[in-house]
Order: sequence, then structure tokens, then C-alpha cells
Amino acid sequence: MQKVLLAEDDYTMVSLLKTLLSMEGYEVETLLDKHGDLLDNIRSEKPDFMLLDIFLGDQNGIDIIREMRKIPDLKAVKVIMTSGIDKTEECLAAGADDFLLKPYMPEDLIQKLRS
Amino acid sequence: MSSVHLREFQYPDDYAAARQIWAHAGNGIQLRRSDEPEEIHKKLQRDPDLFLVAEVDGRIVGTVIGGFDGRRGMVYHLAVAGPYQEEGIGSLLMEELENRLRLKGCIRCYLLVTTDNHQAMAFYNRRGWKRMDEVYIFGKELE
Repeated sequence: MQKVLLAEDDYTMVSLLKTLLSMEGYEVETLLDKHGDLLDNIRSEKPDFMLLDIFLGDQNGIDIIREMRKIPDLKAVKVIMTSGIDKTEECLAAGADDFLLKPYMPEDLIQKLRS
Repeated sequence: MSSVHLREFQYPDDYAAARQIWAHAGNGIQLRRSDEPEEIHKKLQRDPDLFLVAEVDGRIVGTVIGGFDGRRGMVYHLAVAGPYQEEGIGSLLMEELENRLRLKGCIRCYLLVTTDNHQAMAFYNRRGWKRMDEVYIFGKELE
């Protein structure tokens, strides 16, 4: 079973996405309530996919993806970044595999995961 | 911009997109318990025809929620996604909601604007809404 890691800070959205992606056959984990170093947490989860919001509280998703791509263990994770502003080029340049403009429909996310 | 299509909100299919718009709407919308899926579902048991979404190319880009209790109307969560703002979508949503409220017999409506949201105040002023300085809003949680 492929694992999706959700880096999104809205609890309700995380809950919705967990339900939906589980129904689609994905194992779903979240970074909500995880303590310690973010990159260590991602590495320990060993996800196949990661949904990464650009605005994550006091952290910036662009910085996170740049750091991820420097770490050999995390280079192969397929990262889909999201934001309410179209930051496609900036995200792809930073190392993301894809970008989803909010608001997106859950079907859009599933399509990206499968593509 | 492609044409804008207004339609009634469909639960649960439209919930995720609507919530993302509200979450990115800034201080104008503070997500509360009333915005959780079960509360939205409850709201739709009444006035489902007053909860509207705007679509562009099949994507939900705006929302507005109306309510009518038989005496007064209320307007909540008028919001348009960032890339689609300043295109008149908020005006279309409000016009449609006001028409629907009027057809239900509503003769007066209220809405809340945070005191620092000057953009929203200017928008509502242009649409004929008047600020009511003579009243305070009271709220109470009913557990």
C-alpha cells in the first residue's frame, strides 16, 4: 500500500483527505501534532507521496522542499505542493513534482497521485 | 476569464473546495465549529437553496451562505478564491442570494464584517448595504 504524508495545518481538511485517500487505497499519515524536526519526521514516515502546503504555520513549504531534495532518502518522494496562489513555477523550480491550486476538488488530488 | 456559473452547494462533494476558500479568505472568515462538515450538513437541512457556489471551468471559486428565519435574512461566508477576485464574482453571488431571499419574502438582511475589513465594507456599501452604528452584536455559545 502506498503511503501519502499530509503536510497541511487545517485539522478538518486533514481529516477529510485521510478519509478520502484511505477509501482510494492509500495509507495516510499526517505531520499534525508531530514534534521535533520536520525533516526527521518526514524521513521516519518514508512516504511515497507528500502533499505539502506552502504556508504551514511558521514554516514555508518552499524551504521544506528545497531541504528535502538535498537529502538522499527523500529525493524519491513525489511531492505535490498546494497554495491559494498559483506558485507552480516556483514550486517546480524548488523541487516539487506537481502543484495544486487551492481550492481543489479531492478528485484533482487523486488524479495527481495517479499520474 | 471564462464564464461564471452559479449553483447550489452540494454536500459533501463541494465541502473541501469551499473550506479551502474560507481558510484562505483572511480575517474576514474565521473558521469555527459552525464550519465543520456536520454543522454545514445541518445548515443544509434548512435553506439549501441559499448556500451558493460560483464555478469557473468546473472549479468552485466562490461561496456565499444565506439564511432566512421568517423575519430576517443573514449572509455568511461571501468569499472568492484569490486568483478570481476583482472579477465581479462576489457581486454575482450577492445579487443571486439577495434575489433568492427576496423571493422567500425576506424584507431585511444582516451580515457581519470585521472592523478592520475595509475592502468588504466598501464592497457592501457599493451594493447598498448600510453600516448599523447604533447596535452591538452579541454572541453566545449554546453547547
